[in-house]
Amino acid sequence: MILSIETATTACAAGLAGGQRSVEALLASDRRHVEVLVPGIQGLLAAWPATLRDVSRIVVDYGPGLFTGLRVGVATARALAEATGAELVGVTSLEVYATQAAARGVTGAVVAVVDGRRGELFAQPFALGDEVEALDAPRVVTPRDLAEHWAGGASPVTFVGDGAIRYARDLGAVPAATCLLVPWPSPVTAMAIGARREAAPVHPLYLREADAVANFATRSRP
Amino acid sequence: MSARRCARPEDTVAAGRALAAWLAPGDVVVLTGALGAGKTVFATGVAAGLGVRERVTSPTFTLVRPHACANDRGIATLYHADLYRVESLDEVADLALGELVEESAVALIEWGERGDALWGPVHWEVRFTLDDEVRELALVVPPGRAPATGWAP
Repeated sequence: MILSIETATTACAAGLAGGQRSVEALLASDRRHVEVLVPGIQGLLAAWPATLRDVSRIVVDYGPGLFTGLRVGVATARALAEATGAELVGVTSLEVYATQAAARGVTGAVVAVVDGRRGELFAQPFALGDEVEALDAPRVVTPRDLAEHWAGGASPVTFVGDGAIRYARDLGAVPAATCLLVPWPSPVTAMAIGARREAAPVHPLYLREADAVANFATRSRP
Repeated sequence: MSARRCARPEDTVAAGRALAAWLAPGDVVVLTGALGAGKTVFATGVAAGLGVRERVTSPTFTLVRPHACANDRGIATLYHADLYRVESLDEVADLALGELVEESAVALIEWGERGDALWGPVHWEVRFTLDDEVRELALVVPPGRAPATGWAP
């Protein structure tokens, strides 16, 4: 069976899938990841009923998102995979949001948006048709710049994710835009994506780092 | 952007108190300037303005030090950080200062320009320059906030 771990927003969630069944649970919505994640996984397993030995694959959202949450989720997923021998698979918060939009019947241009804190969003555009296709890499943008970018086009666009809740006013002002308010990436959706993906090492995706590393390296140090 | 001139350490402390009056929970303040430009002295003024009772010293070797605050503006903690000794950006990211402050704290970050890309567009900056013993403190107010009237009379 598959275990899914979700910590990219202030919400902490987990899910299980096996046979024809899948479940997910919101464990806390107020950034208590470190406190609720492992007991929450134990609770889900007990209710199934199953044990960690039954888990053959762990799907973890590795970001972008809340850094203090992601490091709990990714570290827990890696530790459990190490301890149980389960395969480890990473999914991004943004592709999970885009896939949730597709599951709700949205087609065409979709921009997945995660609250990047400090006045910025993590955003990635997708085209939703028969498949969920990423049109560009995830980027850090201000809500205003993202809105301006999409205001130019005449075709409809859907913004999906927790970022569309916090910045509904900026993004909703884009002509022909819809904001789909999904408060956290769904573990069940993550497992649907992760079930078909090859196992690989997972590290938290902290989008600002690439810029920041370059910045750091070029600073003169006294 | 105008600079406030501080001839004596007391003036630099007063400047810190003046900034503290404008701070709100979630604020990040980046302090930039050479060694000895007055950043830590300024930090003692900010701490006093926020109602920190304990002594504030440079957190150069601890990277970040939390101070409990007593004020009526919902700022419960002042995180005083110093990135002078930081060897890699990973260390700065690991501190997660931008997230730590969100609910009820503010962060004051010496040598904060070393983590520039992590703070986002919404933060305060105080640039310290030393002009023949007189310290000049230039203040950059975050976008969307009221101008710092009276900073540099």
